[in-house]
Amino acid sequence: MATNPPAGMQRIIPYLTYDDAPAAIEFLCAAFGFDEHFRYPMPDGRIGHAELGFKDNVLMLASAYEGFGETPLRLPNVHCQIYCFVDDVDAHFARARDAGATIASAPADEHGMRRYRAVDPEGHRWVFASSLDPS
Amino acid sequence: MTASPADSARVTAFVAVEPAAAFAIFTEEIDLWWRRGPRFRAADSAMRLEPGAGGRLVETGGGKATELGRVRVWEPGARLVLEWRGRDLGAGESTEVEVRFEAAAGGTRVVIEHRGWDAIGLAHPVRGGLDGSAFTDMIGLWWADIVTGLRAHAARRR
Repeated sequence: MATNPPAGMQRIIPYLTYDDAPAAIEFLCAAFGFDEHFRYPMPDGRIGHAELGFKDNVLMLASAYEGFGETPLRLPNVHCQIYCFVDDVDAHFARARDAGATIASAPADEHGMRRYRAVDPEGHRWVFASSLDPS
Repeated sequence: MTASPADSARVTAFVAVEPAAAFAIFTEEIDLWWRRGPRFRAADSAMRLEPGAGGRLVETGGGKATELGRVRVWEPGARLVLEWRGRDLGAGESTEVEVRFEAAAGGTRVVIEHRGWDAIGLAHPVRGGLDGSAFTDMIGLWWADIVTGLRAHAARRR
């Protein structure tokens, strides 16, 4: 019987849409520390499907296709946000800022977490956090 | 100047043009990149920023004009400071928005600081019931969404 989720994946996976998916892959790797696992480029330059790794999790993304997904650049309001745990929030923040991520708020301690908020080049909203619980 | 977390929201962003161009795009092409939608402005409105100290940032649409802010400092290629009322603050209420354009590898780091919120009472509708850094976080996210429009517009212009 197949294993679910498959090895190297978690059960719930964000699947994001970008107008310029190749640029998004480059950005997510440079700024947020993702690793590209693979991509399926389409003949017109769009990305049919791509998977990026983040520690032991994966993120899926694709280019915008009518009826399948839309870039936040064309949405009238915020659709969702992605909340990620990292080991060193301040180091992650510095890397993201230096790589040109839009930083909505710098690292701060709140609700038992140290976290900062960033927005990627097409407007997807990200929170990077680390627990302050010493246990 | 860095204010307290409850007084000020600070957003940093990157645009892939040099500072003089970033300033020109920010100011002269504001109608092209300022995002549309219920959180930002009316879908059919026009935005204009009048150049120079004393210039107004105005949104027009639906037969009315709303002054969102007024220029306090106009330093092309470097810095813009606006007295800011936006859509939500009334006469006698204002905050301040500073936008700095700093040279960075491959373009410009745009730093937006929106300060002066300590003077806006906790019961003010603009806060939506939020105070402290929860409120300024919301303001920071709003500016981050706004400046995402600038970033995308500048990238298309390259």
